[in-house]
Amino acid sequence: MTGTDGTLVSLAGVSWSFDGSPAPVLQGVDLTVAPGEVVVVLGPSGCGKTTLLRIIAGLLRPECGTVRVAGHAPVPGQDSAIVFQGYRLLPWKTVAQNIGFALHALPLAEREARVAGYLDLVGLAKFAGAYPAALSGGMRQRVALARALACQPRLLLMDEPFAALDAQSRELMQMETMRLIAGAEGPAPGIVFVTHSVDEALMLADRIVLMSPRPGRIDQILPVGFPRPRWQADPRHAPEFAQLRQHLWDRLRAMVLSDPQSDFYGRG
Amino acid sequence: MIALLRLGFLAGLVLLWWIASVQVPRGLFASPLETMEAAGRMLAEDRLGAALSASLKIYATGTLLAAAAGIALGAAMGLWRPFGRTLDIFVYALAATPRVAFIPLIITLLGLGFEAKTLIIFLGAVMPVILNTYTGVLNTDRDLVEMARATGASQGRIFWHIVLPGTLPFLLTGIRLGATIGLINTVVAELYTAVTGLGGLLALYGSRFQMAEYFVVVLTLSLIGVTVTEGLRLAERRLTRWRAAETV
Repeated sequence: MTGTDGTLVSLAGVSWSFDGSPAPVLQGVDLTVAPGEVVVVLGPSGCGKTTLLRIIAGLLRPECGTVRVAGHAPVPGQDSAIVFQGYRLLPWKTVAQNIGFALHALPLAEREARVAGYLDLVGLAKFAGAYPAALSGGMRQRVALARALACQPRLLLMDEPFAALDAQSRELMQMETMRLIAGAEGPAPGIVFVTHSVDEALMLADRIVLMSPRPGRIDQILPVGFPRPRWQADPRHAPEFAQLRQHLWDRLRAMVLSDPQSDFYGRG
Repeated sequence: MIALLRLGFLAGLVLLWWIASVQVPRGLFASPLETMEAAGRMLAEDRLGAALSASLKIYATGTLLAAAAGIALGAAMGLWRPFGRTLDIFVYALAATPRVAFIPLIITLLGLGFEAKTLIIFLGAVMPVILNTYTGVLNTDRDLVEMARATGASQGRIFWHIVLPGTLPFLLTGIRLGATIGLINTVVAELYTAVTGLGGLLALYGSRFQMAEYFVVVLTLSLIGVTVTEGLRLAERRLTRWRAAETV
């Protein structure tokens, strides 16, 4: 079930600010996400991209504007699942219990089968009984992904999920993640992916939403047309890739140099 | 290896004890052997057993009540911030007050019996449980709470699966400290109210210079303390097994 106009997520005129703060974190954001689409929100620190994700998840209520996910106001856990930066696994639960955490509404047998299926998908069946402390960063990331996918959400929200990984693992996890999402059963979820990495955005996105800081608003929305799956056809050598990359970097640099609160203000 | 070294250390202690008992004039100190014999007599005549069960009864009642009340109050203070912020300064003040100072008041109010003794133990044991539980709840990982909220978890589920397990290490430390203070206050209560139990025996044998019997009581108290704290330490290790993986 989606909105009457077939969109999965629609935001209209969404603004948000901290209690009592005159400077809004987000101002007048309009955005739609189609079912199965990968939208990457790209922007420098302070552009409110994580706040935007929380609003779509229903964790924050916008001050003004409307948010619709699958046709209604978002309820946490109902249509969406989040993969967080820093994994956020429960250290006192095993890998299997962590994946099953959001599935408590399912009958036990069904829950166990579901957990086993997603453990298999991310290749961690052997570690079902291990505690997160015993896992490497990449493995924890896969557990966090399995936990989100196991809910079989219509909408997957990803908040810089690879920021804690080293550069090499990060690149491998990007491709691995896309492969896993494509390999999970059911229709592919729509994805809103927050990052401040230009290359990550170009590798993953159907559309890139470029945001500018203070107040956070949408600077421009760019379609990214490289063929999928991109773990087979690496688009990084295409001339369009270099052009888009250059364009995004120019915009980001301009934003950061003109933002009085950034470290690089006025250093152009 | 460590167990062997510990046994050796214990043997050294007994040896020191024996040397001391030979040096000190007779009647002021008892040798290990005399103490052993006294223990045998006291057990045979059931003097020790009766005192032990009287002490354990008030100790267990006071400490268990303290654990239950301390967890409830500490958790309520941590979960409901205005309540906690209003109360915490008073709890700290009470914790800093020597609670033996209340004994005359307790005797006036409750007399010299079971209730008074239990209250003295309770007041000693409850403070570390409250303060540690409170600290534990305040230390709850907000990122994990947000993760749980994002899955649609209810407040109750967040408490049981996030707040409580995160508080557990703090809470168990609080109970362990509380149990130690509870044992001290057991003896204090038995010395200051109706003279009963192990504390009563200490007073009796101490005043009669029956040092062998006196040492038996001291060793019994030490054994209770060691058993309880080691038992709790074991429970702590089992309940927080997940932390063990961090050291791997």
